[in-house]
Amino acid sequence: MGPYLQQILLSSGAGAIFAALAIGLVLTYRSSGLINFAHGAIATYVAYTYTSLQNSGDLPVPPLPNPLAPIEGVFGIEIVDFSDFVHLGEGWNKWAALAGALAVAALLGLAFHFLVFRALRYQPPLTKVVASIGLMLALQSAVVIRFGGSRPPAIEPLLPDSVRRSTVDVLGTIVPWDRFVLLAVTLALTAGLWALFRWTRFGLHTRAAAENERYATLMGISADRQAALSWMLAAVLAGFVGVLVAPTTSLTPFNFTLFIVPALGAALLARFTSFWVAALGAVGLAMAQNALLYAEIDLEWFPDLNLDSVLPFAVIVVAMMARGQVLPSRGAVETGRLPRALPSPWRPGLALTWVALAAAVVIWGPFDYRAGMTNSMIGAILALSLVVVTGYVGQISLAQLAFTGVAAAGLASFGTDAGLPFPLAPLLAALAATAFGLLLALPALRVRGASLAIATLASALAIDELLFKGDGWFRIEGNPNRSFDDPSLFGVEFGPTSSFPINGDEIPTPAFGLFVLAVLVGACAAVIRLRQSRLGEQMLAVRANERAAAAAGVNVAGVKLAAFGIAAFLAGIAGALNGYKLGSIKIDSFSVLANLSILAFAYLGGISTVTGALYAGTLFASGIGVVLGEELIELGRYETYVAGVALAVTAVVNPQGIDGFDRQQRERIKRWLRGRRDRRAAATAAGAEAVGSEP
Amino acid sequence: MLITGSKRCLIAVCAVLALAAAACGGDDDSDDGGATPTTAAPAATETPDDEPAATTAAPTTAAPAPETPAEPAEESKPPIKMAVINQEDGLYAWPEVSENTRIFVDWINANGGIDGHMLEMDLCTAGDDPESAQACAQRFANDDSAEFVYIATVLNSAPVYEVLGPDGANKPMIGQMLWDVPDSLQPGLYSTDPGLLPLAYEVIRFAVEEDGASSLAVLVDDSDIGEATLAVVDYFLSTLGGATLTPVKINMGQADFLPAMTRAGVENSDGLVLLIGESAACQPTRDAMEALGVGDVPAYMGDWCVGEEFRTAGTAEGWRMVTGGRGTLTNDPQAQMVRDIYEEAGAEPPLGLAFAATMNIDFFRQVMELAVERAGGVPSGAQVAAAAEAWSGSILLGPDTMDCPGVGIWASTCNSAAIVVSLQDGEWVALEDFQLVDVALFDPLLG
Repeated sequence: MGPYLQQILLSSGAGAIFAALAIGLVLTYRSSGLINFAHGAIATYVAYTYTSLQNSGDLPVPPLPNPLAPIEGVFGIEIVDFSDFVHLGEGWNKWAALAGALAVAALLGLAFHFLVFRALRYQPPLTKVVASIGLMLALQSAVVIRFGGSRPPAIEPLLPDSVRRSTVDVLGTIVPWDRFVLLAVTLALTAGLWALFRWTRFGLHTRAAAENERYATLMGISADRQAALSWMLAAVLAGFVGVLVAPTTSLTPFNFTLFIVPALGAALLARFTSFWVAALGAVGLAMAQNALLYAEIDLEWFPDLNLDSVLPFAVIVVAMMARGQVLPSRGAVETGRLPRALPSPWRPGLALTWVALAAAVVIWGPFDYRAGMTNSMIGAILALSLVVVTGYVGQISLAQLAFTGVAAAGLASFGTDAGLPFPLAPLLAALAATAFGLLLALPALRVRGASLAIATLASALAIDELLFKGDGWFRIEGNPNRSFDDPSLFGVEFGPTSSFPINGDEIPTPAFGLFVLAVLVGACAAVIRLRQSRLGEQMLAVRANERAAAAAGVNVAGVKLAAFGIAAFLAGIAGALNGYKLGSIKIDSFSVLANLSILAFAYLGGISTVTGALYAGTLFASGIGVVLGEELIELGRYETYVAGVALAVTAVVNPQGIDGFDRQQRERIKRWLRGRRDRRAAATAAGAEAVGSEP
Repeated sequence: MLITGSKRCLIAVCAVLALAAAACGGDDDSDDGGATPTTAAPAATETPDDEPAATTAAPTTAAPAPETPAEPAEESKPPIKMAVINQEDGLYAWPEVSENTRIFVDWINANGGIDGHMLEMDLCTAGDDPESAQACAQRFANDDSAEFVYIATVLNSAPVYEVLGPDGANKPMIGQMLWDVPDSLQPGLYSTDPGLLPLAYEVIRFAVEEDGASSLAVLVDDSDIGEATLAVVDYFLSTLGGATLTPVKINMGQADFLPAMTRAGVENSDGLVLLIGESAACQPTRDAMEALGVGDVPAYMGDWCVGEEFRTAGTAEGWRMVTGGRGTLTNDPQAQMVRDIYEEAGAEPPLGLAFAATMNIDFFRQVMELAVERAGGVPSGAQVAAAAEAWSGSILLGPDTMDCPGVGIWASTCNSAAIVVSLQDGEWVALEDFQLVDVALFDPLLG
């Protein structure tokens, strides 16, 4: 038992880190009703700020818009010189640097509340999730822009050497003091938050605002002010944790965001309500993870399945299955709805025009337009999968990209390795993705909304660890020979380099683009048909009100399973096409963080309509929208940063996405034209009447 | 305050446009990230009176660096297009390498370019997604004026090979990809990066043969690269004096290295081998070692902990690090010369990945000089490839002898020598000279 006890005791440091993040997540949820995916990114940004102040006295300035940039660009001059850093003297003392960094954290918290989340108070969970993903991307990318990716800064630990270098004997196991100190600090923070919410006026008001905002407002409590203070507090907490634990863990632009997954598991255990359950759950999770890892070494019969990484998923699923709808709803004055899932009217002329246009770009466009269009069409199929599961049924899925990975790995196994011909191999690969989609849909039978988002995120992590890193058909890691033969049918090849009579000398040749276009047309037609079908109506009924749908005789569980299955199949098709396009696959392409971005961009396009999916496709990596955008301005290293900010801005000003905005504008123009016609008709009639009435 | 829908839209559009505008102006470092092609303006030719600092600090050892500014008559020679791909957007990104590359190319141009031909840098910025890496590769594959491609950093190298490799456009690639083992085997790619296998081998060999370690705790990255490293570790377990190795995988984003370190049994080992190609692993390793009270146990690793920050903070004190170049060394004249080039340009000296990139640019320069000499002018892609195939010599910061391409199937590994450096009393010193690693040793690992 000795080594196991040692592993458990030595996990106190990791447990403290997860716990500190978990209580921050609970704090944000209790005050704003938001699961803040940007919480880890805030910790990262503040920790980097601390190191910069401490090492050189430089305060990093987030990349900000330069209003004079267009003039500077046109005339090739520099009018204003925005510095990347503000030099505030030589390297600061660590406590001064901490104070400075926490002040930055407080400002970030306030800015996030007033600029983004205040406006989203009454929006559905999806909108808030997307906004927080946008901020996460922006903050992490700001760190890369300012500090680079190859040089982590040296960090002066907050704890003195006397604490960091002493150990204590616990039941014969030597444990460093500083890990216990980290744990003690975290538990003290937990106690502080608990006491703050339990016994202070601030806590009382915040709880009141969360319970019933209308009555709280009537009692003179400003829910807005409470939320602002809580955001500030949560950001300061995140920043403090980042600085405190940075010497223990790795300081990279994304590490703290990765820690969010186990922290979310713990917070979910606590129903995003109890600070103590979240903190202790996180510590327990870390201890269990390390005990499992030791068991993999110690016990020959124990499977080597990266169970430590899968554990958060298991905890989340078990918690949800056991407790059902775990997140308490907030008593907001009103709650917004998901974007409207309008049916796409059948307009063959318009559809043919768009298909012809896409085909023209694919055949006659410059090679980068062809590549961009192909990327967009594959992205659109992936976005269609989110239209089905999220847009039609209201289930937030953060695992769609993982399904594309399953299909891509499956295609390499079934096609290249096993020699199955096209189209059997890609279809089988997509069906494999469907099977996993159905499996991972099981938690959705019990929960929805933000809870389901967390469950699917953990599912993506589990797929990553169990399938992509495990042995079997779907292994990607350490398998550089996963490659793909070009698709061909009846001797005709249509891969990215297959010959084609027009523009066949530049890659990608039009052959593959036309093939993808054909698949996209089929996928769009299928989703349009689905929306108009009885199953589609049932999906919308489930999205609107599960209880009402069940009362009306809708098999809610069946509808949800069907949606997840169809969505996973579509994602699988996109994955197979992507495999053909890239010619190889790497595990990094299907990371948990990439899954977050996919949902966010699908939302930005318009997550409830087929047209929205087509818009989303243009925004995905190296899509046609990005290619066209770069004709105007080359964003380079700022691309992710701008995309993150654009996501947050869109969530605030146009929660319906680009498609919704487009519809609004078209309807406005139509109304204006109709009004103009009516006015003209009225004027004509009045004129005629006047003429008629003349003597 | 009520904001109407149209105003909201206007604000949104303005905000996004303004943020986008920030990319083309405003920030100090924005000039290298975007506008393409970026012609690395030859400072010396524009302002002949400005004598480049580098010319006064010419290398005193092996590297045949340019020593005199270009003759005015040579300025009329046609430029050579230098197509460059760098991964500088996203979360796994190295934007600083673009800047480092530009500075070194400026220096080459200021010193006469490639036999009077100025280098015109055409930078394509990739993100951390495979699509954008492939898009950059396609751009240069379709560009007839891009005869070859210099790779600054690219993580998603496989899609690039598909497009630029012998089965695709067949354009020679010089530089460093970051997918170690497949990169080392990639025909058409020429790199001074010894790659993971030679470095891992030398780490273990040095520990066992030079330091006499008989038991080593090994922390290895749970990734593609880590998988390959583990294979090396297992393979050499029996060949290097029968040392016992206890490998433990670590996930990217490990919250605390302490439990993993105890699982690997560092307390009872003669040394700790850190095979995690991440600079971010250095500080937590030192932290965990000190927390366990084993700070004196020798630690062995690659070149990812050679940063200036780790020197000043003492993080790397006493550790043994295997690297493919001498860029770190405190009193090395070549290293100092390179530092001077960057300091003269107002930039920090390249470290870590950027330092490895610097070696590759000098390698690129020499290959191009050979190609230009043979072609008598701007060389074609085939001529560049032929020059790379025939090139043999030394580069700035590298070993005295290098041959391209690598031995046998190790096509990309032009430099298979490794040097062990250590931080001692705040100064980087070499513990031994470059050791040539026989890469043929690894052939059995490829099955």
